[in-house]
Order: sequence, then C-alpha cells, then structure tokens
Amino acid sequence: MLESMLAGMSHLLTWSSLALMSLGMFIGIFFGIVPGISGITALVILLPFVTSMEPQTALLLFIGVSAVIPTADVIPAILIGVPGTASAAATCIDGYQMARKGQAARAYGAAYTVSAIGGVIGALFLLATIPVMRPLVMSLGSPELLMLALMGLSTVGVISGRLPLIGLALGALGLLLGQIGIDPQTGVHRWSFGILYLTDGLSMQAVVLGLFGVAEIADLAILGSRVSEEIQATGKGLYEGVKDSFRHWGLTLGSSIIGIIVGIIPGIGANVASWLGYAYAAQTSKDKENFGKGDVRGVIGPEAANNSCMGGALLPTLSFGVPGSSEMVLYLAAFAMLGIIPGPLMLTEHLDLVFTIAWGVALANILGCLICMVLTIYLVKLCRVPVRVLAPVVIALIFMGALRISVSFPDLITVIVFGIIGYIFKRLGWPRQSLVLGFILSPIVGKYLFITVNAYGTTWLMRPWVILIALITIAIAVYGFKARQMAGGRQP
Amino acid sequence: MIAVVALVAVFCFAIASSRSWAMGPRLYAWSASILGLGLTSIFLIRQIQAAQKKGDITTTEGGMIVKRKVGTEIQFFVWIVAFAAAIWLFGFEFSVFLFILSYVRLHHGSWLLSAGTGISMALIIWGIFTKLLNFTWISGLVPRWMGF
Repeated sequence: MLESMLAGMSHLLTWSSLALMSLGMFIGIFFGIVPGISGITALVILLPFVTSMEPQTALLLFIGVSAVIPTADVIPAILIGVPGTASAAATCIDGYQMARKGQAARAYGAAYTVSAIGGVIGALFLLATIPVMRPLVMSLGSPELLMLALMGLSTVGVISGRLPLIGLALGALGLLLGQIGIDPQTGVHRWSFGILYLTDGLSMQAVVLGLFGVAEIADLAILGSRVSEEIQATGKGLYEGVKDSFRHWGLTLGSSIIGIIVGIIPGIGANVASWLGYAYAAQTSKDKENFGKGDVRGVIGPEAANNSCMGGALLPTLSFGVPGSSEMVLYLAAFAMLGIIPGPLMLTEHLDLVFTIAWGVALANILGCLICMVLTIYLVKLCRVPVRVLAPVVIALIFMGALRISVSFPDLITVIVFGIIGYIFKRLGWPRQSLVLGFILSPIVGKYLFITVNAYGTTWLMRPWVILIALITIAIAVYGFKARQMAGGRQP
Repeated sequence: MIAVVALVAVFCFAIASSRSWAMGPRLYAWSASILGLGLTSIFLIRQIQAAQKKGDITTTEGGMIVKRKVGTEIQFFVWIVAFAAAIWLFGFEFSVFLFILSYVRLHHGSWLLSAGTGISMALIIWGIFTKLLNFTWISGLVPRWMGF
C-alpha cells in the first residue's frame, strides 16, 4: 500500500505529468471563467485526445481541468454576478454583493483559499479511504458488481434530474445504445442494420461530444446570452480574504465535509454541494442578517463544499465504477477508452494510478488557487468574450475531437445526431447523464450479466450483498421519487 | 409529448427487432427495453392525465416552457450541418476558417473580428495539431479533385 502511494506520487512528480496537469488547469480556468460553458464541455472536448496518452498523464490532464473549474468559476460570479458554472451560483449571492461594496479582492482571496483547502481535504479523504475500500471491493463477485452498476445507473437516473421516470428510462436507453454492434459473447449482430460503421458499435467519444458538447454550446448560442459589460476594479484585500478563511476555520472544515458526503452520493455533484455549503454557513452563523448582503461566510461555505466534492465523488467512481457526479461519468468514459475498469481491478492492478489521481487532486487545487490569485486581474477579461465568437470556436474544437476518433466522417454524423438529441433532452429537462452512463456501463453490465447467469443461474439473486444493494437501490429510488413529489414536480 | 411517444416507439422497436437473437443478448435487450417501455409508458399516461386535468393537450414537457424561437434553433443546427458539409468538401483546416469567418460575420461581428478569429483558430489547429502533433484530418473532395 505504501509502495503504491509513493509510486503514485512519483508518477505525478514528472515533468510531463506536471506539464499536462498544468495545461489541464489552464483549460479548466478558461472554461470555468467563461459563463455558460460547463466544465463537462471541457472534459468532453479532451476525451478523444486521451486515448493516445499514457493513463497517468491522461487522467492528470482531466484532473487539472476538473479540479480548477470550481476555483475559477467564482471570477465572473463575484465580479459581475454571473456564475462561471452552475456550482458557483451560490457564491454569486454574497460574492457579487461584496464586489459591489468594493471588496471583490477580499471575496476572491477567501474563495481561492477555501477552494484549495476544500480540495485538499477531499483528496486526503480519498487517500485515507482507499485502504479501507480495497478489501471491501475485493470481496465482491460478478453478481454484486452487476448490482452496483445497476444501482449507479438507477441512482443517477432518479436523483440527477427533475424527472426520475425519464431518468431511469434514459438509463435503459443508454444500455440499449451501448449494445449496438457485435455481441462479444455470442457474435450476434445487434442493430447494426448491415452498416459497417455500426458493426463496431457507436463511438463513445462521439456520443458524449454530441450529447454534452454540441448540446451545451447550442443552448448558449441559441439563447444568445451576453455576458455583462460591467466590470469593477478588484481593489485591495486579497490577503484579508485569505485570513477570513482561517478565521472561519470551523465553517471551512464543516462545508468541506458536506461536500465530501454529497460527492459520495452518486448523481448529485458540486452544484448541490455548493448550495448545501451556503445553507450550512447561513444556518450555523449566529448573526445571519448580513447573509445575502455581502458576507464573506456566504463565499466560504459554498466554495469549500464544491471543491471537496471531487474527492468524495472519486471514491465510488474508482471503487465501484459508480459515478459520484456528472463529471465522473466522463471519467468513466476516459477509463473505458484507456482500457481501465474501475472496481477490484483498479484497486489491485492500478492502485498506483488511484494514488496518482488523489495526489493530483490535492496538487491541482493548490496550484489552481495560486494561479487564480496571481492572474485574476487578467483572467477577468475572459468574462467579456462574446458568444458569437465563442460558439464557432468551441464547435470547431468539438468537431476536431470528433475527427480525431477514427478520422472518418460517420463519427462526425454521430456527433451531430446526438447533438440534436442532446439539445432536445436539455430543453425538455431530461437528464443526459443517465443516457451516457447507461451507454458506458452497457458492455460492463452485459459482461457481468453473462458471467452471473452462466455461473450462478438464478441463485445469485439470493446472495446477501446482492439483496442489500438491491434494497439500497430501491430506497434511493423511493427517496428520489418522494423528494420530487414534495418539491411539486410534475410527476413523482 | 412527441419526445415521450418517440421513446416508447424506440423501446417497442428494440423488443420486436431482438426476437430472433440468441438467448443471452435477447435477455439483456429485453430486460432493458421492457423496463424502459414500462417507465416511459407510465410517464406518458401521467402526462396525458395532467393535460386532461388542465384541459389543455398542448402541455409543457417536463415542466420546461417550450416557447423558444424554433427558427433560431433550426438555424443553429443548419450551421452545424453546413460546417460538416464544408469539411467533407474542403477538408477540416480550411473549413474551420470558413465556418468561423462566416458565423461571426453573419452574427454582426466585424470583418476584422471574424477573419482574425478564423485565421487564428485555423493557424492554431494547423500549427499545433497538424504540424507539431502530426494529426491527420479528412481530406476534402475539392482538394482531392484538384490533385492535392
């Protein structure tokens, strides 16, 4: 275990790894700052390029991107009241008010510092729990792994969207789409319709590029949203904000723990974590009257939570292949493309890679904080990029990624088709991540189903862990439906 | 409503078309399809019931307000398809320049902004990805006709 931990750190501390992680951080800063583009778009664009990299460097690139986005997205949130990504929406409330009072620098100092602290706490949590998870995961067989995959799929479907029934149905649709092509066990042609391209199945990168990449930029371009032209001077007070983070150390620690817990629960993610962090800050403060009017605690709470969330989300992703958040769905896609299967194999044959990821999260959060502190005054200009310039550039990047898959036109057609489908789903409020997760898990579910049925017949349904996981799945589904009902959704 | 009906149709098609498969793949396909069909059908029935209560069949889908400029949406995806067609005709690098130039210009950008962005992006792709990283792209129909 110690050897793997040190090996993981040594993979991180090479020039190529650090360079790629730094590149990922700058990409993440760009996508975090520009309002309207989610962090998922950044990961989607990078996805086709990771196949030609070593797994460690590819994943460090991903970590550089996703660790920094929750740090950088506060830049427009504080300065112009527009969150860079959805996870900064809670920070807008008090952060923007602080900027209006001439305390933007103090807000930035606090946000960056607690982002780094939260991210490191999340990474330390991951490092501490890996030794505990390993024996647990090793005791699971194919029936349990099958049930865990189905649990992840149903949880994401129920919790991550506003329409649980449709979320579950889209998960099932994803499973079907993932079956297109030749069945590896029996050689049956499934829904290939005699088309050579479909014989190999749909390309995962193309599907993800379309569903998330094209759909997101289409939404931004069609709305024609304009970023506010109003920019105020950042002012002094960066160091004051840093001191605030330590002055309110209890809040920082508590919010970080909240973020970790939210991250562990599949399908939720940093958006919810940041709001819970804000609510925690407001509820636990003795003097609440300044919240919403520029209270630095209203910045500390959400920012600590949304950065620590990643460490929590990585735990079920790496241990069981159950994504802790929407970004983790893309991590699973990257693992699949790199030939790495999360779960027992990950924690045995690739344990050093797991530790590389954990160390990478910690380092990326610290470096991201420092970069943002130094470059804020320049980075704010990115908030003013007009959509009419941004949209075609991002589309070009997406198409570049599509053409990288196999240098063939059918992949481009797949991207466009799924882009249209993804846009329709986004407009309808249907959770696209359920579809993508079903697609990614489809071969895994198929394999475990085949092994389970052939090895155990029907007796696998009586195994204790299978029953326990099934009950947890049902409980989460019932909770999800009830929660939608109480929230006044159109359906339970 | 149309999207939900389409989803129901997809699941029905999946069930019908996998009847002749071997046991293993058929079990998997039917498990997912029947589950999906059941869930979507329940959702559809609830939507119809909700619409009938409100007395308006043209109800919103998933609680989202459907009103948006459909023309703008179609226009955007026409741009996407046109870009793909340009790639097929002229190759990727030149099409990037052409797409960005025309998109920005026709969305009220100045000639300087549109040409500058287009040229910059094309140069970045050519310089970094084509020359430095040796990526290969689809060669367009027109360059092939011209013997390049």
